[in-house]
Amino acid sequence: MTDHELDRRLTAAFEVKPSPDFLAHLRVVIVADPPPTRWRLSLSFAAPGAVLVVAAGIAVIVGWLAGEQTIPSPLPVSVSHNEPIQSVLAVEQHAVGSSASQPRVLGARPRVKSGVAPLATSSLPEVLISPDEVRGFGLLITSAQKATIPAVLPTDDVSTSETLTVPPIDITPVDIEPLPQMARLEQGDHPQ
Amino acid sequence: MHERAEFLAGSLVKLDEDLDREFEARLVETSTLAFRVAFGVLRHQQDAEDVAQEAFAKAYRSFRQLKDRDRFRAWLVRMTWRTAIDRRRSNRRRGAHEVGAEMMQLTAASGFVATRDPAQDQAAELWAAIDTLPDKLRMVIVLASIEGHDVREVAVLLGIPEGTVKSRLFLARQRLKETLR
Repeated sequence: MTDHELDRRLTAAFEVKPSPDFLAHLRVVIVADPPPTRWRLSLSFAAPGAVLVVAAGIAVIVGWLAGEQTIPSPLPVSVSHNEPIQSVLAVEQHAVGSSASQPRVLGARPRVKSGVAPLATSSLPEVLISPDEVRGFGLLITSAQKATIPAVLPTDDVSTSETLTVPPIDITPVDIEPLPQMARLEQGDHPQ
Repeated sequence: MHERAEFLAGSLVKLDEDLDREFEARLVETSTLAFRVAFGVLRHQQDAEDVAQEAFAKAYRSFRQLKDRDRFRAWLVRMTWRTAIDRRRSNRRRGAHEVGAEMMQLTAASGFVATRDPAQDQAAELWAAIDTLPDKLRMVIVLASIEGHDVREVAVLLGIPEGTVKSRLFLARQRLKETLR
């Protein structure tokens, strides 16, 4: 077979034409297809929209953290170094004057601003101090100021220094009789 | 603000209309090409039309993404070819269309059965020979035989070097000549 003959047969084989309504069918298919352009455009707005959502999320988190920092703090973190001592002294004087049956919390509970208080202090638990500790600590401070350390802490409760006397214990001896069977065995009386 | 939104919406509608108009022009220009490419794989009129429609629907959905509109023909040809290959595979899986409906006069058992039309016989013989070619050679010979594409145009359509097209075309023609001898 020559090249010319092959070309002729190939050309004839591919001279096939689509049906007359093929183009009309194509148009119908494309019209029935959902319009792609709007979808593509919405995709182009997707990236800025995502950035906006992320920014809003960050703003909400930052706002929430700022709110966390304004919770009441148990410690007077914004006062000067002398103020805790004065507060303790005030509590000590108050405790000596009263019955001191209820534990008290040192210091006031000021609302700490975010610029003043470190973030870590906001999570510290509230500390309860017993009256004895308050009294002892106050006495220690006043003694230190006067340069005299007391050997024994004064206490209102004298019952702790009393000595209790224990009565003597009388124990009577108990005789335990051996079991009959064991007694017979010890005496050499073997069972039949 | 409202006027601006209206202007934007109007622009978008105009953009859509322009795109639709451009796609319509491409559709008229390349519909027969797509059909013939599909027919070169499937050898079945209705299947080829279905595949061409499917390829055009895909092209329409992605038309906006196509940056270089001059490459639409090559893009469509490759898309049609892939869709046709997929269709042929699924047809073979179903066991249908093993032989094209229009070539049903041929029977595998008795080899080539002559009909009353010599031209039809020649065409059937040629298609049987083309069917023996591997897909790479088949694609080149199909595209070179459609609409008088030369080697350079086939290379552009397939996105491969001209030298590769030349060698594949030579090999394909040699095999066809041997089969049809």
